[in-house]
Amino acid sequence: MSSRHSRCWNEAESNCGEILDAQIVVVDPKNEALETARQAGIDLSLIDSNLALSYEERVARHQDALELMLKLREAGNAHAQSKETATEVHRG
Amino acid sequence: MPNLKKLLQKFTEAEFDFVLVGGFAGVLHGSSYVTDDLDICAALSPENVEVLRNILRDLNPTHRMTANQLSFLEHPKGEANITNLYLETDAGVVDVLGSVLGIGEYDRLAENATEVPLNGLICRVISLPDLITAKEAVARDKDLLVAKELRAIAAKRGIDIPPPSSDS
Repeated sequence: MSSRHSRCWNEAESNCGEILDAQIVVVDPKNEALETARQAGIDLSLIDSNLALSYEERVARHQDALELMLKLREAGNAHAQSKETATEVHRG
Repeated sequence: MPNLKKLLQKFTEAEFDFVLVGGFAGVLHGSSYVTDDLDICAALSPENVEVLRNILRDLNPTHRMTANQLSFLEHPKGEANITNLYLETDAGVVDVLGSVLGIGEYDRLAENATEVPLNGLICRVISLPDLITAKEAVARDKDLLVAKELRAIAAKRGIDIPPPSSDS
């Protein structure tokens, strides 16, 4: 929420003919946390999806994700190793 | 293949006082970041270390930071003063911490912990505000990113969190 207004700070200063423009911005800490997360690349819809799960389901979903991550890591390592071997054969 | 679900289940079923912290606590609070270890905070008294040994006995626990991967079932012997335990088990990595940076020791964490119903049992999880404080205290890039997500979760859940300190 923001409002824009002009204000004379005091009579003495207003005598100098100065009018200050001030912009007041009220930041809601909850919105700020969501915006900070969004800017960091965090998918907020995933949070909604996780919060809709029971605790058991969160644990089960995490276990599935962990197993997938480890299988992908293993496949990546195997691929890197086979490329290395192929390069060595080519050089030989 | 790590099975953090199984590990957490073992801790929850045992008569052992702990608070779940770290990335997996974030998952229970609604985070979508994947973690490959389980972090818990507990009072590391000699009695509790023995309880931990019993919980992990069938999972081949070893000290993963030691050169020879010493067995946790045999080391340390006696009444050693233990601050943290960094373990590897057949079900994945477990870190047992005596305290959490930015928050304090087990008792302080337990005061504010959230009780989460899990498979018919109760698991105590570090509160969302405390987890955010801890992540911002560690302040690695990945922790700060998770903290931003946790702040968004708090906003969506209507939980008031003080703004981050200017140095995080």
